[in-house]
Amino acid sequence: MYHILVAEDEPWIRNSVVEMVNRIGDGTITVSEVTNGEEAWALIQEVWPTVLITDIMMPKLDGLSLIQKIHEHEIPMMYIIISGYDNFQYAQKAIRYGVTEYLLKPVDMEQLKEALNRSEQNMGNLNEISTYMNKFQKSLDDIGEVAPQVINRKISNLVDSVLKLKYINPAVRTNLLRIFEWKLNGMMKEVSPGHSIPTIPPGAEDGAILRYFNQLADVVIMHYAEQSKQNTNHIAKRVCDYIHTHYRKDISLTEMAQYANMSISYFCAWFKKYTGRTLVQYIQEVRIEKAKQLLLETQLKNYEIAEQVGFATQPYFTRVFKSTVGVSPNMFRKQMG
Amino acid sequence: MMNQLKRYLYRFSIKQKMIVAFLTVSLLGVSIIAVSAQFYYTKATTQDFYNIARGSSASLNHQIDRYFKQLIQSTSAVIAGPLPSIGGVFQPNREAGAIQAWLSGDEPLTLPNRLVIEDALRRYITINYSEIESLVLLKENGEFISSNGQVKYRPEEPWLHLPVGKKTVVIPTYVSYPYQIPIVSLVIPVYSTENARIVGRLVVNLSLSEVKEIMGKTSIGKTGNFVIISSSDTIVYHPDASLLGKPLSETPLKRFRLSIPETMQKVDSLDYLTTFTKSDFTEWRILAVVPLQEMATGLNIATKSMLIVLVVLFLFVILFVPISTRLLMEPVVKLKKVMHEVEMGNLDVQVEHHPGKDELQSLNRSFRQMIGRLKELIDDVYRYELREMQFEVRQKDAMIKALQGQINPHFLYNTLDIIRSIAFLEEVPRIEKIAGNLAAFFRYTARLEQLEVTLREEIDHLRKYLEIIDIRFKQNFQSQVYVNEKFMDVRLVKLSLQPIVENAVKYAVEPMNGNAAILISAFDEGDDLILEVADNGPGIPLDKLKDLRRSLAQVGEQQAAGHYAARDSLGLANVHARLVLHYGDRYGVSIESFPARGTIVSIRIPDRKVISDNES
Repeated sequence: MYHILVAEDEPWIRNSVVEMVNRIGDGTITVSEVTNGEEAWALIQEVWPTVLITDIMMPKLDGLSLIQKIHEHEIPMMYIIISGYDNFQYAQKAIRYGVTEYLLKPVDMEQLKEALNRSEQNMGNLNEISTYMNKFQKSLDDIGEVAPQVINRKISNLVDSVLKLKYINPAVRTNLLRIFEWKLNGMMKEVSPGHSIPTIPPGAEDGAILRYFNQLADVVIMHYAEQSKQNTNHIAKRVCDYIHTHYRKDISLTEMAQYANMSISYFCAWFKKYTGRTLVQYIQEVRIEKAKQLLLETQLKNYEIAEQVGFATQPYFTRVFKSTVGVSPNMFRKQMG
Repeated sequence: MMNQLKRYLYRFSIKQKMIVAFLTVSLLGVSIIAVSAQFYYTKATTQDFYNIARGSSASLNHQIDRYFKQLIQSTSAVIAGPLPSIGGVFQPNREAGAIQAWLSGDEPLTLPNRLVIEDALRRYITINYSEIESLVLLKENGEFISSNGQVKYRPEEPWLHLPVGKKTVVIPTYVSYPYQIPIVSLVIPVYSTENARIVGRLVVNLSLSEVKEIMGKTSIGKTGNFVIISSSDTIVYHPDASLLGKPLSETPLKRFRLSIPETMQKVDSLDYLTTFTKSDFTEWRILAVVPLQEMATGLNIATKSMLIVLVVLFLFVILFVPISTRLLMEPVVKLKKVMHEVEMGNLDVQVEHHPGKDELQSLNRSFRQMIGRLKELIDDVYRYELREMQFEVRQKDAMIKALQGQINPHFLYNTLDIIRSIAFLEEVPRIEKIAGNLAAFFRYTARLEQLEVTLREEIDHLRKYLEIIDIRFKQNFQSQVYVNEKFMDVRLVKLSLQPIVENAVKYAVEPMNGNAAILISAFDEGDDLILEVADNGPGIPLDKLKDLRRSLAQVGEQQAAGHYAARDSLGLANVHARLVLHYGDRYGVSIESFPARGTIVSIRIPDRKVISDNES
């Protein structure tokens, strides 16, 4: 089970790639999708994908710059580039960032499958890191809903278990600690810009490291809880209302972040914390709910419903419906109607 | 005629011509000097000879004449006397007047008288001229007394029958009787002492000893000599005694012309100088004969020195002319080399140039300036052409950019991917396939960097193309690629196989509404690999096939000659042209067709798995 992020600005192609990954993964892969590099960068810090499938030519932040950024922040990830450009310089640059898969558009499902298989084989520690990251992220997502002491303990336990990797997998340990620190520091800067905690020197004792993380978590949890209680409820309501009215069209992360007057990364974190889902997941759920409604209340054909609720094609709708609801739209209508 | 000569002369190098010219001029000069020296020396020598010889001859004549005259005078005493001696009263001289008495008297000669006269004559000889062989007194009546006593003379004795005259007669050399020695006779008239009447003659027979004495002292040259010839052309004196008295016609001298003095004549291939003077007294000619050679010792020296000069000059010319011509020719040869370089297109040559009046140096200077100008001109033309070319290239660039703008590759591939994505989501696999293959097809075709690819890449590309064609003709069309895996890594010029198949689709599959098959196969033949594209279409008519083959051959030749004929389409000719250009004219496309049965197009390439040399 791993997470794949698809970054592609062309909706048809994005949908097609997402669909391909879904078919290839057959339920074993979680797919997130974004329409440009900036969205991808924001979402990466929320969902910590294992594999990034990205186009090169994208607005705001192009694929190669995105990969460069990820590379610079030493976030472990596998990359698959899909590009219309058969360009040596691109390929060369990509190789420098550790990209091993470079697929030319149009992407064939077989090619993508092979590329994913190869990536899976080369993942190494990535799955382990991913697991820890997901746990870490889950704890952070719980801020505001669960008691701060619980969250603090969870994070403390997680850091402690990471610290214990010292002799088993020191590379993973170092990597995870750095990402945790980076993530927590980032959050702290957002919620309490004036606050700072002296960093610990490299090679410090485990106890010191643990104390340092506890301090960081304390500050973040405290300020986050305060802020979320304050004035975001009405914004969340507005965003959700917007989605409920505009679910038919393509709603991008960028668009909604703008609507909420937040940065993309903050919006990502905020929205996820507020709804417990990513934006795409939320929109998908809304669409499926609307589809259910239409299936029960109208005599519209499947493809008409798919179009009305904003799915690109009927097979896509059918597949998404089935994976969310558990039965096909026709079956749903039969059973419920 | 003149031109012919010139053309002939152009065959030889300047050096050769200069040697010949130098030799000719110097030899001609020497020859002229030699000839003129010969001429003037001969003339001078001859004149000298004539002067000397005439002098000598005249002097000899004079001496001989005087000798004769003295002799004649000295005889008169004898003839007149002997005179009575002073003491004759006491002892009367019997001899006194005996000769006169006998000659003018009528009495017959008495023996005592004869003895007295003979004695007187003999005494005269002994006292005066021992060379006198004999004296003979002739009386008018034919009586005679000889100093030799009672001699019986031959009746033909030349002096015997001479008419009586006042003049002394000189009888040239003849052989005497009875002593058989060559003698000259003087016949002197004897006058009576009383009445001065001629009463008889005295014949003085002289041996030639005194003449010999006179003549012998004088010689001329080494073998030249003086000869006395009488008025009747007999030899009076000759150093060769055996010739004395003989007529000229019996002697070696007969070959000479002796009538004119001072002549040079050729006898027995030798030049002789002859001259003579004539005595008024004896009417004899004293002749000087000398071979010119002996006289002309100066001439010989002149000739010798001339020869030495000639040899020296010849050697000088032979030795010096090549050196001097080389010196003269060196700049010419250098210039020639430089010009040759320029002719070969090297304009960066260095032309040496030394200031001065030398024409070749000024030629060098002119040539250098010329090259400079030429370079400038070429540069100008080159720059101009470059500008022109750059302009053209810019224009073409602009056009290509405009076209690219029309068919933006990113736009194209993106659109094809969108089509493919929709087809995928809508589950229309044919569209998905066509869109995917079309994108790949364009991408492969448009990628220009690679000149050579592996057969595998080419066949992958071909398969994508065939899949499109497959979809296009639904079930009717069939295609198969039978290529052994071992050939898959052979390298070949990119886009050489698919265009052939495209051609087959156009001419075999389309006319049959897709109801046709195409078979692609490969086999090796020696070091070559043959790729065959066979179809079962309508085939190519014979005349069209011929045209096609001719155009292939033409394209091949043009490629081999380096003229790249730009072709618009990727037809057979284009593939052939690129193969010939890349691999040589042994390789390329060939075509075989069977009407109503099909066509086979073969591609011949080297069976090589490494990148060929032409790859850049």
